[in-house]
Amino acid sequence: MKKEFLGFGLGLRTDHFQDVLQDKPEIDWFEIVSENFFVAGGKPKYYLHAIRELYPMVMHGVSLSIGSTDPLNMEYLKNLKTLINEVQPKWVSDHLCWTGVDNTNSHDLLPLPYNEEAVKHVVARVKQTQDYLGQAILLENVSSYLTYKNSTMTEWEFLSQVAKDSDCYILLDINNIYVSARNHGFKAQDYLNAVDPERVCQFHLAGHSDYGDYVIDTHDNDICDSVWALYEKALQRFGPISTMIERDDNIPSLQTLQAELTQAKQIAEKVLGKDTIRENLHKEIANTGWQCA
Amino acid sequence: MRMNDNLAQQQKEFLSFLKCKLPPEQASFRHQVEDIGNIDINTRLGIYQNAYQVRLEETIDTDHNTLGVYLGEELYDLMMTEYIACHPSHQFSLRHFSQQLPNFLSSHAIFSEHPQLSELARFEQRLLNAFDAADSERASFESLKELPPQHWPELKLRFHPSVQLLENHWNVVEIYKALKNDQTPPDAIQDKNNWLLWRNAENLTEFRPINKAAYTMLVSFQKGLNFAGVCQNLLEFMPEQEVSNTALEILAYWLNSGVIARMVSQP
Ligand SMILES: [Fe+2]
Repeated sequence: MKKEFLGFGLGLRTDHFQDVLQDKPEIDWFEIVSENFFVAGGKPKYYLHAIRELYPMVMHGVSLSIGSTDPLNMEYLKNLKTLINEVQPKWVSDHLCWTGVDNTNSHDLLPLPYNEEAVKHVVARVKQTQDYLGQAILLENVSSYLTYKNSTMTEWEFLSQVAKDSDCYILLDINNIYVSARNHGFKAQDYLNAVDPERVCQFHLAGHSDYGDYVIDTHDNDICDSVWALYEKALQRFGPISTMIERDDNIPSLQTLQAELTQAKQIAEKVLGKDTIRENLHKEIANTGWQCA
Repeated sequence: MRMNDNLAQQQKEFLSFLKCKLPPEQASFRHQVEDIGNIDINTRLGIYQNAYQVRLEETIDTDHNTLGVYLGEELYDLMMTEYIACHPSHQFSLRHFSQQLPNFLSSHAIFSEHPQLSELARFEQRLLNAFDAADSERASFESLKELPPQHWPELKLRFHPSVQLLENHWNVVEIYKALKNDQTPPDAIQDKNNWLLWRNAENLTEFRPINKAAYTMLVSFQKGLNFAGVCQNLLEFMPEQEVSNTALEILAYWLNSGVIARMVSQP
C-alpha cells in the first residue's frame, strides 16, 4: 500500500450510480462500502466496474470486527480479498471497533475498552488480517457514546498504539473526533496532536445530529462549521491527506455533494496553499509532521 | 484467567443488552460504563440499543417495503420487533438479514392466519435474488436460427443465474402490483399461480405469469432433459400437432427476454 494523496473524493452511493457514469463529474476518487458489493452480479456490480474504469477507488468495510473476541471471520476475509482483486483499490479500511460476538452481528460499530488487553488483542488480529490480505490496512476511529470503567488510556493513545504495534495506517474521521469529543468531554485538538502524522492516510468528513447534550454520528446532514474548523486544524497537522465526504442518509444530489467537496478543497488550499495541493496530487506523502504554508 | 476473558465477557454482556428489550436502567451492563456526568448512562446505553433496533428495522423495510404497506404500521412494527428478537443476524452482510422472514410469518401465531403474508415476503425476496444474482452471457434468438435441424432433438438449455420459478397459492403478485401503484390491494384469495422471475439484459428484474406448457418446459430443461425429452413431457397434456409450435414459441420468447444463458447442442 502506498500513502498517496488522492485529492478529494466521495462515498459512492446507489443514488448516484447513474449520474456518475453518465456525467463523469470532476471528483478525484470514490470510496465504496465493501459489503455492498459482496453480491454475485447485477446492477451493483455493473456500476462498480464501469465507475472503477473512470475513477481511483478505495474500499471501506464495516464488518471486519477487528476488536471482536470471536475468531477472525475467514469467510469475510475471503470475500474481501475477492473484491480487492476485482476492484484493485488504492487501499482497504475498516473501523477500530467490534461489531459482534458469539457469531451474532450487531451491524453497529461498538467501542472497545482502551486498555493493554484490548491493544494486544487487536494488534494480533490486524497483523493476521494484513498477512492474509497481503497489504497494510487502515483503521478508522469511530464515534462513541460511552466510556468503559476498565479503560486505562485515552482513545488517541489506544489508536496510536494499535497503529504502531500492528504497523497499520489510520483513517482519521474528523467528524467522529468531534462527535466523541462532545460526548466524552475531551478536547478534539488533544486528539489531533497525539496522532502520528506518518500513519494518517485518509480523512473522513460527515454531518451529524446535534441533540444539545449529546451528538450522534448520523451522516444525514451537511458538515457543520465546527467540523470544518477541526478539518482545518487536521490539515495543519497532517498536510495533504486524501479527503472524502460520507453521506449515508437523506442523500442529496451529486451536485450538492460536489459543492460540499469543493468547500473541503478550498479549505485545504487555504491552509496548505493551492500549489501544495496541486503538486502533491497522486504523489506519495511521507511526512513526519507537516510544515504549513 | 485466559487472555481476553474480560474483553469477551464485556462483549457478551453488551450484545445481550442490545438484543434484549430491557430498559437501560435495569441492564446489568450499565455497571461497566463510566459515569462522566455530562450525559447520563441511560441515555448512553439507549443510543446503542436504539441504533441496533433501527438499523435492522431499516434493513427489513428496504427489502420488504410492500409487505410493510400491506400490513399497516402497527402490525408491521410488531412483525419487525418480533423478527429482530427471534432472528439476530449471523452474517457479515445485511443483505440476507430478512431471509427467514417467510418462514417466520408462516409459523407465527398471528401472521400465519394470513398465509398470503409469507408468500408476499417470499415474492419480494425472489425479486431481490434476481436483482443481484450472478451475471452471465445470454443466448440470442439468432443463435437458435443458426442451429442445424439435426441438432434440435439434442438441444439443452442453461438458464441465466437470475431465473427463478415461483409457485404461489395466493394472489400475492396482484396484491404486490396494486400496492406498488399506490392502489388498494385486492382481497386475498386462494389461487394457484406460477411465475417466472429473472433479470433482463438491461439489468431490470422482470416477472411474468408462466403457463403450464412453459412451466413444464422450464422444469424439464432445468432437470437436464434435451429438447426431444421436453417435447415428450408436453405430449402428456397437449395434442401432438401443437407441441413443436408451442415449444418453439416459448423458446423464442425466452431467448428474446434474456432468460437463457447458453444453448448446448452437442450430444
Ligand atoms: Fe467515517
